[in-house]
Amino acid sequence: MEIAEDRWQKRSSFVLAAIGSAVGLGNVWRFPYICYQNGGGAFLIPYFVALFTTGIPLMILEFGLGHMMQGSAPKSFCQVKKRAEWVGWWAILVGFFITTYYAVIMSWCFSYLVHSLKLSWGNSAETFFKQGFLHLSSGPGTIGGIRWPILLGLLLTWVFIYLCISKGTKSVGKVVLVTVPLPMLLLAVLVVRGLTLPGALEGLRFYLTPNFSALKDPKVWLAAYSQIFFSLSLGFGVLIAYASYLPRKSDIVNNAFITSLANCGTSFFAGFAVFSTLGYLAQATNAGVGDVVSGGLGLAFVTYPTVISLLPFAASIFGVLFFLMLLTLGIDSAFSLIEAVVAGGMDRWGLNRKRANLLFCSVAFLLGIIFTTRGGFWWLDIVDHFLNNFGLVPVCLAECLVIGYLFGPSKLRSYANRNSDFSIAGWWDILIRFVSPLILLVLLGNVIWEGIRTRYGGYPGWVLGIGGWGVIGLVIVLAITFMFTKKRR
Amino acid sequence: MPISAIIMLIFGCLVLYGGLGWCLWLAQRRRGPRQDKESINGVRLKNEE
Repeated sequence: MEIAEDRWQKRSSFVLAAIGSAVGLGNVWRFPYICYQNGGGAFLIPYFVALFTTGIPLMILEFGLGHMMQGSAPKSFCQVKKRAEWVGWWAILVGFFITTYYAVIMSWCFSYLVHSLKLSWGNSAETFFKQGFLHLSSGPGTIGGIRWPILLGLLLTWVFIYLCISKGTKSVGKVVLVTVPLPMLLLAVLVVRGLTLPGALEGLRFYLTPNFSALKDPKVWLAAYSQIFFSLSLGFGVLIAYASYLPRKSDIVNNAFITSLANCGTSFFAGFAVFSTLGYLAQATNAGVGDVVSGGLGLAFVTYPTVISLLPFAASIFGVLFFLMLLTLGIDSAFSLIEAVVAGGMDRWGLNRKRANLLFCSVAFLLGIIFTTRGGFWWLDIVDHFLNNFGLVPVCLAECLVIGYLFGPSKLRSYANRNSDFSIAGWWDILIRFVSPLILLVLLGNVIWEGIRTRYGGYPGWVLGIGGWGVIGLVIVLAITFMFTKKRR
Repeated sequence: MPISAIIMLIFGCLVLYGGLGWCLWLAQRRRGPRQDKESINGVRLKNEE
């Protein structure tokens, strides 16, 4: 069996790969913004509660399940209960569709790496991003033509992803030796640069000053739990596939703690780079920090380039460092999502690695072309919103229910404890059976309620029907279809 | 910066980096020679043959 032959050479390779998968673009552009929006430093309290009550327990679940069943997500869930196989397919399909646009964002980073050399955005980074770079159409209904530089960047991204996973754990183990420490190093350079800029302390004041009254707001707690779920690479089947490549006598519990803490530590650290530079931007433009703060794509492609232009010296170099950091942060998350699909394809249809890599990378590249069009930005926004909210949360919920009620958490716990550096007690069973499902139900209920109450982004109904519900429907249909396709002998 | 911000900074660093350091220390310790019934400081007491 090919999966069994593919093994991590060292424990550090596995841990680095898991950290690389968890740490991605969201650590830089999502966490600091969410933290600022939800009580500043006080947000750390619900964030840590979420980390220890659901993030780490779910990671132990995924590591333990993958290691115990020695297979991809669909195979692992199939071995738990034949009818639960769809959970595994759902997980890896959500990850697969996310990679289709995630690679496009990385393609933008490639382009911006080049644009940084000449600071092409000039004095108006927003105009450059929307008009000069994306040639953004008036709305999702107007697709427009393909933006060839973005398509070229996308092709380059997929070639990199293909090369990274070409030899399975052997190549991934080598790649992560660079792609995990390098962005941390670049982040450290950006933090030092940010902290030495005038106004940096004012920015940090906004980031860290706690507003404890915000903790009374349930939305703050929901934001903390969402942030934990979305940032730890849970529910994509990646961690299940990675753990299946571990040798038999391997640690589970401590590896989950190391991966989670390293991921959250990176997010916290990234906040210093982001807010110190925002403090500088506010001072340079005579505005308040609250007026210049932003998150997501706006932070990476508008706010940060604006700051780069205002730097007193070596602006181009810091531009290159910033986008190189984003690229190296994103690449291991992207290839881990594809690796989970490849593992599933190899398990189910008996494909060899080379063929599976080529097939899934090519299909994902072709699907991603829609996001390289002039209207692609709008579609990316819609697909991202729906897949994250309606794709990921149900998978995590189903994982908890399958293990908590069909398999029995104590069985998995005693398995995980067998070779771990330290053991987990019965509290883990309670978290998996009651606490995590309850929180996930509340999260799911909240996004469904929001979806009914407001039309996301004010987009037309037919657009949300195709790009939102259509994609979710496609994931469900494919998950059920794959579950019933003929297995390899 | 207000004192409350500095306290939250220390709190965050303690939990995240302190916790990570502790976990890495445990992982490192496990790699070293184990002291159990059959060995002291990694030197086996009994000849298995």
